[in-house]
Amino acid sequence: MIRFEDVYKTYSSFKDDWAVAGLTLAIEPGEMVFLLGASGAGKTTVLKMVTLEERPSRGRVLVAGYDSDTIGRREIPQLRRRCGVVFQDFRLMRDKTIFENVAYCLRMTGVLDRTLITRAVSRVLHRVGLYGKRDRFPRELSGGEQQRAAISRALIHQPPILLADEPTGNLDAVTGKEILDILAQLHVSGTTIVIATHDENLAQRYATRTLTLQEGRIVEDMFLRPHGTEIY
Amino acid sequence: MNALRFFLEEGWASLRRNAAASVAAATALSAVLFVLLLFLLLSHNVLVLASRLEERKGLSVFLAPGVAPERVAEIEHQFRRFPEIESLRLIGKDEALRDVEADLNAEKLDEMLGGNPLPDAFLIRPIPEAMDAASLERLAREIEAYEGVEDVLYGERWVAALDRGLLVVRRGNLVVGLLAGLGIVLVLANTLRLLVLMRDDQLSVMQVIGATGAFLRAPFLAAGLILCLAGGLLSQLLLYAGFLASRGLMPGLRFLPVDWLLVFQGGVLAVGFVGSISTVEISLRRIERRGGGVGG
Repeated sequence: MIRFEDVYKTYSSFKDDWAVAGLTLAIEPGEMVFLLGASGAGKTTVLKMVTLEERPSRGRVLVAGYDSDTIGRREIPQLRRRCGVVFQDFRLMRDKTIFENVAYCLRMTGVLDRTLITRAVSRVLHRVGLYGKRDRFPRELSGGEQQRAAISRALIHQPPILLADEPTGNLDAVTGKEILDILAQLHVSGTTIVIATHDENLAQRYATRTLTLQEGRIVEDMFLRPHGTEIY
Repeated sequence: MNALRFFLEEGWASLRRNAAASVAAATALSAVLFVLLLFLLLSHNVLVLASRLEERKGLSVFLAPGVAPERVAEIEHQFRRFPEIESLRLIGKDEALRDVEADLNAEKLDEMLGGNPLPDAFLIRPIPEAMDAASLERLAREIEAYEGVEDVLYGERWVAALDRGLLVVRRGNLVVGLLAGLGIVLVLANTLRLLVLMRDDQLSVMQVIGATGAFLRAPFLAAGLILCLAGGLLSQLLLYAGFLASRGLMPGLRFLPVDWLLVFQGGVLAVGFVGSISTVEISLRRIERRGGGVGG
């Protein structure tokens, strides 16, 4: 599903200043992988290379049949629709309601039929328990609710892969657990999930596998439980 | 149709979100376009005047006294074969005298003068392509060489001055048009860059969640076109108000015809479209290049 082949990434012009250095890994369908490591370890860079928001400086990344070496500019949006993305700071559109935030993602793929949009958006909002607050604006919701809205936005294309960058970073422990419970449910229903976090306790509780990064390299790769098992 | 409506709504929403900047941009655009329209109004009125003068362009060919009627008929026949001549009319000396008498409100001038002193003459109207000063001069010289022709008059000075004046007006239109085009692009560039910057964060999120380039650009293009439409209409409204107010001072002044206004508005939209595309393209590429920083 996701493969990194000897991938290097640098943001600077200095020699040997790698954000990711010689990363080789394979994530199979249905895994729930936690990327662990301190700030600057390369977790976010790895996630950004999955969506090709960042291109590898060397090596190649293969995601859901797309190859970073050969993918065309016009194919990148298609790749990204196969990867739902959840951010630490939610990144919802402030001037749109929760319903409109999610619907906007459908519209950008050319779905403009109101009935179809209402049906699809209602489905994902029910799934994260936010249907009752569909007409609220992001500022009217708590952090946890905003993150649930962001998850529903990520799910609208029914992506086989879901990437989350510190999804609980802005939330208290209880709300963070609620969010991870939702992600774990998605994992059980077959979505491959990759979460970047520095919270090892959460990883121990939810992950099927943990990858620990340090200075852009994997220093530990642990399989905690067979993927597909119910873990919460 | 749904897509067009959606993008127009999005464009309108982004303008509304930045209402102050949008109003400032529409006002600046209308000011630039008002200057262009003012120049067009001036040009239009000069052209109307010029076309009236053009109607008077032509040659008066005076024949020598005593040319036999057969020779007059022969000359007429030869002139009619000139490709540069559209029409000609023979004004006999008697008809000319009657005209003079009518102009002077006098009678029996020939008796007072001891005979009709006026010559037979041809009034020649050249084809439009031969109306410029150089062509008229060439034609006059050629006609002058004919036996029996005494003099050819065509108002060399005013024809040349009219031609020069029209050239200045046409060049002026071009220069003002180009400057106005540049003005439109500059105003739009600043406004759209501002709109893109205000949505900078959202645009980068939309890129990551799979929005195509066209989807990202379209609302800004729509916003640019809405601004151009508003600026164009507002400037026309201002011009019309100014026209109504000054009509008493300049009674002969004519307003711009509808087809000129349509071409003007179409031109503004076309320049706005090209300006918007390039601005949005540059701004979005900047966001894309900046993309992600170094993360955890």
